[in-house]
Amino acid sequence: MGLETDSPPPIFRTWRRFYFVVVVNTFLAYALLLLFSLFAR
Amino acid sequence: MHVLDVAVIGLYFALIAYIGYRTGRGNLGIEDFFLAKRAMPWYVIGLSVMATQASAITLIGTTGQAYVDGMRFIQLYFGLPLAMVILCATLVPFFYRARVYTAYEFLEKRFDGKTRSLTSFLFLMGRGLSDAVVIYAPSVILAIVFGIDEKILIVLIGAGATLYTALGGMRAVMWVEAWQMMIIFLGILFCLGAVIAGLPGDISLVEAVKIAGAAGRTETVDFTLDPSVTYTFWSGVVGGIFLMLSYFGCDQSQVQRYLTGSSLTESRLSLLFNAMFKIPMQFVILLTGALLFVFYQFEKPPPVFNPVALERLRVSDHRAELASLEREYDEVFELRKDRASGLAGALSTPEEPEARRLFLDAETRFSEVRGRVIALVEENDGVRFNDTNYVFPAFVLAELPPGIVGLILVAIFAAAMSTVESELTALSSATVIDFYRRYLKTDESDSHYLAVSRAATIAWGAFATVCALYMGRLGSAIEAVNRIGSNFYGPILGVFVLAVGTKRANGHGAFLGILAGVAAVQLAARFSDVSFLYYNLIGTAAAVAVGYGLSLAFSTPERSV
Repeated sequence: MGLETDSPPPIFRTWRRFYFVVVVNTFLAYALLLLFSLFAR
Repeated sequence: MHVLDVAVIGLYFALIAYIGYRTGRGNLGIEDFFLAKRAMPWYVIGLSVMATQASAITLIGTTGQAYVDGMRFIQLYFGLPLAMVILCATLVPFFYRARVYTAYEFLEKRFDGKTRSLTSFLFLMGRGLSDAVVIYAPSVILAIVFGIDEKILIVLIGAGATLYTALGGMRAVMWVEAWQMMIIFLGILFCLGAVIAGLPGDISLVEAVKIAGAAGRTETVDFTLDPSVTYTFWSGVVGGIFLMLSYFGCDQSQVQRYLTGSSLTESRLSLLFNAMFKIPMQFVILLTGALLFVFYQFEKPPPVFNPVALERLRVSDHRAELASLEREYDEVFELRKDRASGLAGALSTPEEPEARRLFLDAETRFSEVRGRVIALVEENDGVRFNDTNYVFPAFVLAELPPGIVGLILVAIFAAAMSTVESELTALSSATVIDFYRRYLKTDESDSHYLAVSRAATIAWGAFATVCALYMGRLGSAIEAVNRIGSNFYGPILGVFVLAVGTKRANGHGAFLGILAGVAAVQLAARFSDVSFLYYNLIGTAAAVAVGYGLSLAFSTPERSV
């Protein structure tokens, strides 16, 4: 797989950064869904 | 059924049999059989985790839910990505390093045998019967809509999944599930495409979304604070986190999947993959349902989507009443169709508010007439009637061309079978590892345990299939057990929180904490109207508080993992 044991994909460097990206992505998803609701209303 | 559809279904079964055979060859021992030699890559685990969660009812019911009630259901998944991050940072490393076969085995390493046995037993009790529901529910719907014998479908799903799970073990199951998940993705995209293609030529996608929005079908975020409202932003995030932590962190059917990772990295990546794709996938499924609502503004839907119930009504004493209602139904449908076209034409013009008011008025009248037909069905059948789960299959059968119908049916089969086979591997691993090897035959050869594991898989598969065959008679009893089973999730999560989050918690405290958590959930369910999404939070909190308090009181020596 090209991934060292217990190391995140190189682009994130640390797991903590990866988790941060996932959390930010999640809040972005909430925001996009809210925008969708407002647009379609 | 068209010959092309039968060919597509036949091809699907041949494909999964081939994948199962190729990937499952040469199971040498139980580590191979239950954990695929702990050598799976993250993308297979991730797809398998998603396939396990996506049952046929998720696919059929979610589209119907959006058609009837709108897209608010998506909020159920709001806590999922955050729960995945919490699990990756906390429980997953503990499970992985403990080299366990089951989630509950970890509890014995941390606490004691009785805590492990109790949690594993609660899992077996809940999941053993829910497997029957997973087989039965789509079978009965597909049988009614497509006119296939329900028993044939039950045996096809139940026996088919059991056979290659018992023969191929975890590696075969996970590779098959990865393919099944891709078939499900493909099926979902085909459905969305078919619904959009079915809209009238003069209605753009933006106009269709606006029509769905005008009728309240596109509400995806609701900030209502009332805890009795089921799907809100808060219940989705707060309740959803605990629901998903319980399911992905303590349910053997999910834990077993990420224990197969060839490294901790692979296990973590598989869950984060799920975190990134789950909400978008649910959005596409729900959008399909909301656009189906728009499609049926211009194409007349049946008054109720269950054709068998409607046919019963046509030949009953209520037929004259039905005929009169159907004439009224036709009139209000034409009125609503005109007003939906009027709204599409008036969007972004000064006439839009008035066009919107007229459309909503027609929609209310249409729903009212349909409600009277449903009331007539209920009076005729003498039971409560809900046709939400029939909306999508009825659309597929009536509107899609041969071949594509087969593909959608295959996606529904794949969704059902992927959940069934995951449950079977989980049930047999908990039975063999947590009970048979723990209490009955503690020191046998690996080949002995492998043979017993295969037998346990077949036994659980046969049990679920037979229960599904008799579900019509056993339905309410099985549902009741299922509901009680789901009350254990939160308390079990509480025990895992005690296991990895505290040093002073002990076996006696954890054991009694589970019981206290179950009691708290029961009290909440009986004496409050709080949404079920909060039950896991309540169960977890009670189990942690009581478990920790009693641990301090009992205060036995610590054990390390």
